[in-house]
Amino acid sequence: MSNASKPPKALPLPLSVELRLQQPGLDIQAQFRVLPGRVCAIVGRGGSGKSALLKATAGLHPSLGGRVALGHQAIYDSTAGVNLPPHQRRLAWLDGHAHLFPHLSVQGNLEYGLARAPKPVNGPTFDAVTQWLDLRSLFKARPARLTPSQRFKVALGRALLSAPRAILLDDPLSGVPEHDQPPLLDLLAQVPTRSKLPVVLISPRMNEVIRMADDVIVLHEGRMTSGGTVPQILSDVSLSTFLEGVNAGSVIEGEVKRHDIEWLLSEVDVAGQRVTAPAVLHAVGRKVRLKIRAREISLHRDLLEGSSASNQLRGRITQIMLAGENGSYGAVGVELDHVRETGDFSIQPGVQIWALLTRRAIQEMDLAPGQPCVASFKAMSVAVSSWR
Amino acid sequence: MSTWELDAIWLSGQIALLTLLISTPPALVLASVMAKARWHGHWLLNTVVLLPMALPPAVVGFALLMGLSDDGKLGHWIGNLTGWTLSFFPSGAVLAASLVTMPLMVRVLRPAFEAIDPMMAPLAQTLGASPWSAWWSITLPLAAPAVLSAMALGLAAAWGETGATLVLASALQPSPRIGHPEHSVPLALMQALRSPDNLGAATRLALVSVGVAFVAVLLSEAGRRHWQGRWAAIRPRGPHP
Repeated sequence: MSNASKPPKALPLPLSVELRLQQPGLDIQAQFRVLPGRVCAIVGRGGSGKSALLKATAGLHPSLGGRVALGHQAIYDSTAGVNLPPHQRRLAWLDGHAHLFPHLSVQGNLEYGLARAPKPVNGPTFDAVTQWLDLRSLFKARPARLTPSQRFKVALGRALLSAPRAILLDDPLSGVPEHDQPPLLDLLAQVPTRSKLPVVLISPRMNEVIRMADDVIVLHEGRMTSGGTVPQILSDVSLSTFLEGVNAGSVIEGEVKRHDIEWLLSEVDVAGQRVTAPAVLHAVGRKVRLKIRAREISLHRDLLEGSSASNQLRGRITQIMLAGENGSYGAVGVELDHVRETGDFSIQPGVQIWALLTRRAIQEMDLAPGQPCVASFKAMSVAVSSWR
Repeated sequence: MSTWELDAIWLSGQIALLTLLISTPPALVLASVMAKARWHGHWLLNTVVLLPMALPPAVVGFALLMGLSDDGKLGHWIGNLTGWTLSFFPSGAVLAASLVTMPLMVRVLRPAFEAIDPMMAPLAQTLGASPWSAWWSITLPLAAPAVLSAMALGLAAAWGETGATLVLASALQPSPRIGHPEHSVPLALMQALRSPDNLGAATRLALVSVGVAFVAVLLSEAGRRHWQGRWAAIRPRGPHP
């Protein structure tokens, strides 16, 4: 048969994790599921057990119970007595230290996993990966001579070439100086689509989560406190305050509509309304994520005249709650009106943004759920991020 | 140089090489296991392995004699079973040298294994390497300069082992005299010192020993420097949560 020489490539499978484990002084318990080509981010403060959870998934940290599976195939199952060692789980691991093998050349490092992958290799070719990451000129170099950016790229290439079944990223850019991170994040953000593998990401930097992730789970002192899509979780003001403090805000999704070349501004459609932001390079029609810091939003009863706030979005107050360490200020949730092209608007459940106000301001304006209002903010306070 | 001097040098060389051959593999395994081990009671293994280094060498020789010679119960039993009896050379001298040399090698090797980034081998495993393959292809090469260093030191120590060897020699060679064909360099040197006529021979033997020690320490330090340089260059730097 002609097909015999060319076996079909195994399709990537979803990764489902449900684990209990222990660290000194910390019981960790979490569960999540990542589809092929999608990214699940694990966020939480330092010491919440994120890394241990990921290590246990890879088989590098002992688990007390639970199940880790690719599709229907369990690679760890405490009830069935399955506990594959790391080299049989084949989950690629990448963290901020890169951990390149110092006694091997760059090429030796890249080929390390490739040489040990089951044949026929079910992964990208050596040429494709090295060309994509621009590593050809470094083949003969020793890891000690590489810059942090180059080390990251070699480690990423080595991980992808080992033909893994999922990719685990534990703060992979932490070893790279901040000013070198953006181009590497661009590369990293392509990994889920290119590899079509499930990806799990731990990152303390919300811009990485907003850029890469589809879903987020929040870990607090070992427990999973919430989980959902990126806009859901990162726009939840209580979580957002918990994670980001003064940078707390809302993450909303929109579509680039127009670029204003003269003033170097870009307009993004959000629920039928226009948000103006500093010019971005993303093409018209591209889906983007906007991050608006909650403390930079002011609320008004009516549209403003003569204001520097170029963004005025109509909406309706949905809830008011106390926020801050001691409930010192208030958080007001505003659901944006969905405006149709024709101009009339109707209220649909959907996009919500949060404004942080003082309790006095809430009192004086006599704000209450159900009231219509206008949320205004400067174009400068919008951060636009492409979304993979 | 007289024949018995050359004989002594040749014997010491054989003892040193055989000792190295026997001690290196267990020293590697023990150092690698002890560098990682945090299991219950690992301190006991640690102590037992390093003990001969701290014991008076004469006690080591005595213990060997009691344990393995035909007079001892264990030695007698082994002798009955296999026909093997403890002799001065090769078994006695090599065993005595190994017991003293191996702890020294473990002591030199362990910091090298401890200094290896503890994520190296696990990372190799996530790339598809079995634990054994990861040890062979990553851990051992990373420790290689220290292995060279430990082997050089071990060679010098085995060459010069005197205390335990002397106890064995006095028990297993009833009439020590000059020119005994089974004398290692330190023993021959001691015998030579007993008569003023042999002062020249003693000096020559001492000089050869200095030469061996010089080369060994040189190699050992070269290995250590290489090892330190490698880690200074690759150790992860910068903050990591």
